[in-house]
Amino acid sequence: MKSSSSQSRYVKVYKEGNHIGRKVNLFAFNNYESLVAALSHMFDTTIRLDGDGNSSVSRNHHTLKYLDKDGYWMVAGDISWNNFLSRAQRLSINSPRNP
Amino acid sequence: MDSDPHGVFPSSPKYHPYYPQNTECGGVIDLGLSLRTIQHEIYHTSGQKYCSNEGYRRKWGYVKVTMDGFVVGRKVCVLDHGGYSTLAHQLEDMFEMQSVSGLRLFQMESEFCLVYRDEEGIWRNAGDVPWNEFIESVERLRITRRNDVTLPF
Repeated sequence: MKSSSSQSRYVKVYKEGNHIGRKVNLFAFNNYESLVAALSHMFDTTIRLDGDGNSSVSRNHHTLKYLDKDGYWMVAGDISWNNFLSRAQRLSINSPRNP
Repeated sequence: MDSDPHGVFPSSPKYHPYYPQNTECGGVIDLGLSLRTIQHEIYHTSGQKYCSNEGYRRKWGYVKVTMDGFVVGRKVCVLDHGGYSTLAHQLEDMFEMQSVSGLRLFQMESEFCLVYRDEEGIWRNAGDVPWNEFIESVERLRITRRNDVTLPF
């Protein structure tokens, strides 16, 4: 069991339609923007945070959601980055039509 | 038995309405003997948000919102809102793609209704109690279809 001072927090990331997932270290990023940029590059797509509710604009992009400690899939971006670090167990990249 | 593990109530020794709970933010000792208003928001490194208005006891303003039939949830900060109408507006933005005619929460003709789970674990209809009372007790929100409400009240 890693100590609380561990410098890494790896979580699995799956993109809709891909059976093979990746792993990212959430501690390597300082905010949502840098994480989304890295994932967009890693999965060769455009991921848009839906935190501001502009769902109609994001239909051409992918969205990011996370599995929280309670077992719920939640839209990434609503809570502060630091809270996201402690709560996110897994990430998923989906199209808005199939979140 | 600690019935107030999160120190929400004033009688709890852990209750500190205006000052941070950890020592990183300064060694201020508050005996809680006077009312004080701190007109700024304090953000912990953990991301907790304190409301700038006096009298609010809750420390963590974010509650989870789910909508029946929709697998992904959202989080809203109830302390960001001044009343039910702005909360309904934000929820409309967040879940608009899940309905054809809009959620129209709190409207009589709407097929959707907003329920919440309070600090006692009881599910209630949102809008019945005054807003200030609501935000101090709400723990979880859920958007249901009016015809499908089968929650025990």
